[in-house]
Amino acid sequence: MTTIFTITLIGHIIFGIIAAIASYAVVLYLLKKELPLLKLKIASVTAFIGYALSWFLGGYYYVLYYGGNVKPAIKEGMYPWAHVVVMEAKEHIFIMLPFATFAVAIAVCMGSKKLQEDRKYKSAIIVLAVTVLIMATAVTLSGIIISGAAR
Amino acid sequence: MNKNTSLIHAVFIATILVSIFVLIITISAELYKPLKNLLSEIHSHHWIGKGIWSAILFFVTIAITYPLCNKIGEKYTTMLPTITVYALSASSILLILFFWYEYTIKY
Repeated sequence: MTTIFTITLIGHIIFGIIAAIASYAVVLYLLKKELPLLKLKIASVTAFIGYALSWFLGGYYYVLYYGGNVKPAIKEGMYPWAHVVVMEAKEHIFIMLPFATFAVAIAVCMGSKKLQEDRKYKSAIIVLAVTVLIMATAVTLSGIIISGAAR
Repeated sequence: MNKNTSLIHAVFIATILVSIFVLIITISAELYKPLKNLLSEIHSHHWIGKGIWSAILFFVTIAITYPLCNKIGEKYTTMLPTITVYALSASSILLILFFWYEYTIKY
């Protein structure tokens, strides 16, 4: 694997993990009685930017390297399901993630007053933020499975 | 209704549509190879094509629904994030089940 692919793969992982941590922070901040609005906005925007960067870097690696070099090895190896099920699901669920986190960031940044005043709205946004966190965690764990299968 | 709330509503509607779109285009492309090939030919890779069309759908939906959301008021403020959760969850689960089904019939 050339240096550029190593860098993009590492960048994909690092930005994905940063974004997942930021998503977790969004959930924790939303659960507080008194919302720490500045921290909440920073966390939600960080999550969106992190997933977007992870998307582009991962996409570069996936399109230009994974398809021709890693995918055949996994499909012919002992764990073909790691690509056929896990990677395929991961790459398509990951398409939705930046849009979902953008929605959370917009709801937090532009609806902060409503979050503080409307309990039902706040609960709905918490559930959305938890859903995004679960998706992100699943995608991250999928990446670990695929790396293991590739070895 | 204030402009912020209209934008929030428009973004949720766009996210719901993108979730459904990703599910439909993914399954369609797997079951009908000419569609997958068309995406690859136009965008050099089917995954890039799905991403680009998802982004186009997202921003076009916001542009169209934002002025309409001004008229519908605040009654959907809590409903829209809830529907977004359902759309994201259903799409994710159905995608996993679909690829698992594909694995069981091919391997």
